[in-house]
Amino acid sequence: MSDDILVVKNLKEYFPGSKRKSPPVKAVDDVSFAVRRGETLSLVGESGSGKTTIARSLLRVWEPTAGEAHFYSREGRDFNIMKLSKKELKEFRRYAQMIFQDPYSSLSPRMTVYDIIGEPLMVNFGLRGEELSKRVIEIAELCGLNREYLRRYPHAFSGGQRQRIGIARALAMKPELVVCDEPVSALDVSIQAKILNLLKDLQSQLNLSYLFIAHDLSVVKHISDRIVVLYLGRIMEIADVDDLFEKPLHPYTEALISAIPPTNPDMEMKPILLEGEIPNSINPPSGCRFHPRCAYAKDICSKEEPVLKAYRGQKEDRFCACHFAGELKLHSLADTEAEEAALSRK
Amino acid sequence: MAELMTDKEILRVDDLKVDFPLDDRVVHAVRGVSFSLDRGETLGIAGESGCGKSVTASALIQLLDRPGRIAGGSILLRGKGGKVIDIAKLPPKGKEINDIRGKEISMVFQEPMSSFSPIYRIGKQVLEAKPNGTRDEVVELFKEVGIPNAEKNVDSYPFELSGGMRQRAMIAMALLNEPSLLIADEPTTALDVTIQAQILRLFREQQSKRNLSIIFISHNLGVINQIAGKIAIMYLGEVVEYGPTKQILRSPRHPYTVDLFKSIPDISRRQDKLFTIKGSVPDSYKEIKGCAFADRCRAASERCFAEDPALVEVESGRWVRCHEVKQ
Repeated sequence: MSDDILVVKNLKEYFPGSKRKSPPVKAVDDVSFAVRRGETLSLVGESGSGKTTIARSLLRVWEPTAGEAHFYSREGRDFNIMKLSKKELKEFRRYAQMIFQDPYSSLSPRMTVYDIIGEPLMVNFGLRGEELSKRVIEIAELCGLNREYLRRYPHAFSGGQRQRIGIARALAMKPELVVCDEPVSALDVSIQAKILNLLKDLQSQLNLSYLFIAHDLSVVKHISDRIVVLYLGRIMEIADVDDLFEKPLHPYTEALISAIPPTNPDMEMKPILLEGEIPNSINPPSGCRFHPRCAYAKDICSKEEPVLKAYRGQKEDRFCACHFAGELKLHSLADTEAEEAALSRK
Repeated sequence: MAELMTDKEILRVDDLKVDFPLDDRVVHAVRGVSFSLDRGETLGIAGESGCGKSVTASALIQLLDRPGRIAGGSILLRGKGGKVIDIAKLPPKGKEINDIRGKEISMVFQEPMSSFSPIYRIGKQVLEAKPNGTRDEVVELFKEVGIPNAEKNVDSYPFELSGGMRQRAMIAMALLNEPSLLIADEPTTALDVTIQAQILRLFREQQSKRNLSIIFISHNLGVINQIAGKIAIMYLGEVVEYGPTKQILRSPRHPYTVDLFKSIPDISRRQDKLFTIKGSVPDSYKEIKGCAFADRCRAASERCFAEDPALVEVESGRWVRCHEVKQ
């Protein structure tokens, strides 16, 4: 599998309970997936589904409880992410960088933009003087930042400009994989459009792979090639973006898509209202974790946990963990559009 | 004054202006907002950060942060007794406005975690809105807004409840004094989509049950499309377009509205590149000559830079603030 840049196998991340004897919080529980070179793979799910935890475990922000992950660089280096020495970890972080959600708290208020972008270059590549400033200007301009801005401090910038600074800082390292954790959710729509366009441009210019996290499904649909749907720390479904939105296989995916309020005035929202809220991940429900909220649940769902199985998709295989995948008649965006079209013909 | 309002109307805002005088300059946060609202109707207010959505909302119940003050215009409210009051003329600390807050108009905020105190039980805080109310009343209301185990949860602390439950508790608090108008400022922005759908349903249920009028502020046009029959789009302190939501979403007229809609990723279409509006929203303390959107506008003519357009009715029920839009 030479076109994978990141392969994750059976990743688990348990956080200890608040008291010594209390059970751990199973934030991520046995998750496997792969990111291909040059693609955007998105993680979606409600709060508490483990999106951010997965991303941070993979960059070793904290130590994973169990599991294996490999990163393959363009020149063929294989980083066994969970077993990196201190020196290797530092090297690995050149290849994999992160863009954060909040452009206000993720930039130091006491550093100029020049220093923010330049610091990683000094530390990792030992750049100084002329060479350093040339590279900083090059990256800043790539990200749409004026070179006059470089002497200013973050407080002088708007949210969208700050997000550009955050992107420039990540790209300074010439990474191959960029983890984008809700990079546009703090931004207004007109600025969001600019940042999404920038991310797409940079991806094709620099052949970047993105592991993208967002809760806004219209953003996810716009930017992704493939999507991983998470629920309570487990994967429910993995599919190509068109497959997922046109024909969801998992009831949870169906519910998520149906809850997006459309801006199209001719489309009526018919949400499949999930009863209750995402349960506690200390003690997840038995069997399929989604069964207490699932409209299609049968006896077997509370007893036996479904495994992630392959199904045929339009372009390639897709995966779903549901006992009744393929048997249920689930509603999709395509159905809604067809209904509207039929209505308008009448 | 009363004859300006029709019988169905509960609120009419005319050319509302809000200033924040600072040491060396004055920030004109709201520079001209007009709309009207009928009983049982929902108005959505949309716009980007800094356009004055929330300041408008606070002005409606005279809850502006210091040093904000209403600098012009009127806010006519038809009270429960049928009397028409101009809220803009009431002193912000007087008894009259205090009788309106909560009882005639109440408010639901975005982040229920920071609007509730962390150190008091939630039921006790909700009851603060009604000094002569009883615990049973709160429990009843909690059941009505869909809080499970209401008997038990009324004694929970805010941190023990999820975001969706806290928002339900806040809605219960807003409904406690049976207001006729509810102002909701980004009430679902901090919630997951599935919970957002639940809360939107709750708003709709309570609206039809109590014949509530709602002002729903959100930056999310999809949400407004679902809940509000009328919409006001704001840019830099002004309403630039106002009218029936579906009509505006289908065929926006103001150049800003047109461009704003195009920059939103559409779930039902595949787009390679998103449309972007050139430049960014200017600082609101700068003096504006002519139309506020002129320097970002694709249709701007010389007149736009010289003369501030007025909000005019271009077709029945649709209002646009633009020189270039013809009737």
